[in-house]
Amino acid sequence: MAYIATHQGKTVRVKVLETAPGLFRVSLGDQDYHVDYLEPQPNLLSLIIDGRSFEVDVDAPHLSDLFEVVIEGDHFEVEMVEEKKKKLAMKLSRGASGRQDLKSPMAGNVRQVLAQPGDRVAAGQVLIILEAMKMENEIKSPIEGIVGSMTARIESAVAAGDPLCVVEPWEPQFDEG
Amino acid sequence: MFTKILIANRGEIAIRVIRACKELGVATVAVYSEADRAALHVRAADEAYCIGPAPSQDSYLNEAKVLEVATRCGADAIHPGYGFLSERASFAEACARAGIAFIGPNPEAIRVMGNKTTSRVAVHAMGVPLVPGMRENLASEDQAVAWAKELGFPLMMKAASGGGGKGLRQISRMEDLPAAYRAAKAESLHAFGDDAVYLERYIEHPRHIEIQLLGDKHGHIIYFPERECSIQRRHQKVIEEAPSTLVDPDMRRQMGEAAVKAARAVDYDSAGTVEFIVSGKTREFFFLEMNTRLQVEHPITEMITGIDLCKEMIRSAAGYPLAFRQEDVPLHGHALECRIYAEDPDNKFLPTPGKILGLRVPGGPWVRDESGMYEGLDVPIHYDPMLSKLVVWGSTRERCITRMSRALSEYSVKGIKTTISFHARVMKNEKFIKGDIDTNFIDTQFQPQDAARIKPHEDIALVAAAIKAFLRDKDKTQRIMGGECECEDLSPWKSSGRVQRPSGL
Repeated sequence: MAYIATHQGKTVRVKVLETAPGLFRVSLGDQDYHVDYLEPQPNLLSLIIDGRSFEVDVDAPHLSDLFEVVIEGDHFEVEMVEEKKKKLAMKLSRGASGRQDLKSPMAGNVRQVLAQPGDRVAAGQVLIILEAMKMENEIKSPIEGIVGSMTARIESAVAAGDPLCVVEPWEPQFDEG
Repeated sequence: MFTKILIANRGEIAIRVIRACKELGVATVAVYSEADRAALHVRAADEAYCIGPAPSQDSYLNEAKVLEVATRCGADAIHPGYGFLSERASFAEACARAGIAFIGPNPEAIRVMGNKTTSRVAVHAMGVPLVPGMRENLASEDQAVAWAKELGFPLMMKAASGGGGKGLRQISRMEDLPAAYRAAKAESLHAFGDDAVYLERYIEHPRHIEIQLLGDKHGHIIYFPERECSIQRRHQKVIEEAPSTLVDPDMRRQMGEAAVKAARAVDYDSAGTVEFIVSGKTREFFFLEMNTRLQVEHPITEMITGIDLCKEMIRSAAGYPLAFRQEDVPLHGHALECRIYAEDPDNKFLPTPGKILGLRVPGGPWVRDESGMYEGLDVPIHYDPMLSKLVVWGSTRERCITRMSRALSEYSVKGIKTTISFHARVMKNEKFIKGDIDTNFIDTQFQPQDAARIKPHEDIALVAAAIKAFLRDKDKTQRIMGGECECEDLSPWKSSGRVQRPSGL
């Protein structure tokens, strides 16, 4: 199977072939890796490549193409999308609306809601303040726009990934007075 | 000795105290909030009682409720751990009225040392050096300007009721002073319910070095070799070591004697710590504050002295005289502690509450894991994000650092993000290895270097993610194509989240 991997803005085509149960040939561009792969504990991988042993910590949120990988203390965020799906997505994303769905980056409580649907907000404006474990985290609008909906409710609990609010991009309207 | 001790705390420190009690043959009582029914300390103790809803104010900080449980279950002492009720003079007094021993110092010591202004006045009278600055709170903006002229810049504006790095403001220029004064007052009022602030000299290359003390009810106070806690993030300690690379035997004795003097100012009679700010330039040391509790980082002192501070603290509260004299306190080798937090080091250290799905704890020689974690624990959002402390000992600092690196590489927590990888990277940092550190090291030096570091295993990361994606997609396809697929090579993780198959199949 072929994937398009994206890491820090760089993309590379990755081919994976299972040569025998637990044995893989992975091609990164034109570089081939022969990998003995085992997952002795959930999301904790043991890789042996040419006799070198690596312990790799992987987190792959459900239904997401984003993989978070930790090797020897170094953290990598890798997007791994099937080639066909990637091509389709590229087509669809052309002329994207720029609508921003803001999701909670962590589990916590909603401390403050600072914008209401219909409010015009600036890029970087704080919309919501979350609190967890004595730490406050400001959720800011990534773009200039209009608050479309506000799902976050004050003093309510949210899980990581829960939708908080939607910001529609600001498009100047011509007033016909 | 006491017969039954109630531990008014949670997490790793509750476990630490319970362990000490068990070794002393004392029965233990845990208290827990509704969010902590599944916490480890509940199971570790002989008895456990729920003291209220999740928020700390309604449970762990509820003095009356804790005392009521202690009385009802027949506990003759309460150990407050750190945080929560540990530095509340009112609670220590309420314990005394109820005829229950508070395992900590006398209430007056807590009261005097708990306030920056009163503590400075008390220790100054004993001849303990203070950072040059005001001995009273600022009364006006004009007074602030006058003091700034006398002390010179850079200056530090501090909240009288502040602590834990909160209520601090560095000021480099006279122009910034009026705005800083107003902002500091407002901030302090909001954070501590008190708007008193004062000014003092800012110490360059500041290092945080502290002296552990142990006192008894017979007037003895001894000091221990120093701990260096300069590795801080946003003014919070993250890595501590003992001894400090800056301190020689002569300075150690001077700091120790100054700390004992400070403690004498309040007839200190328990385990406590005097914190000093030390200039990395001139090696001058100045009193910062005294913490009237057993501190988070006490294990590193235990490691280099072989003395169980938690147990000695309990013995002393029970009225025993100290079992050793000053000259009996050894200093052997080096110890390090890394605080493992439920925070994402690769995303601005945001808290990461959630379920611990996998846990492997480091072992091997001279490795100590002080933890409240277990596999399956749901880390609640209501409390401090510290999960555990990894403590190691080595015969030299160099060996201690390599041992810590090794132990961190064995430590694996799955399900939530932790600061383990951050610590692993600090242990490899050249400046840290050289001991060339101050309290700004992490925020101003390590973080930028760390962000720009070369990651040698990018290819391996891509390979791992690709195989993981491949297996997931293969599994998905099989489910769609073959319905219930019971393939030979289906490993248990792939079926996790599906209906559990009966065992033995």
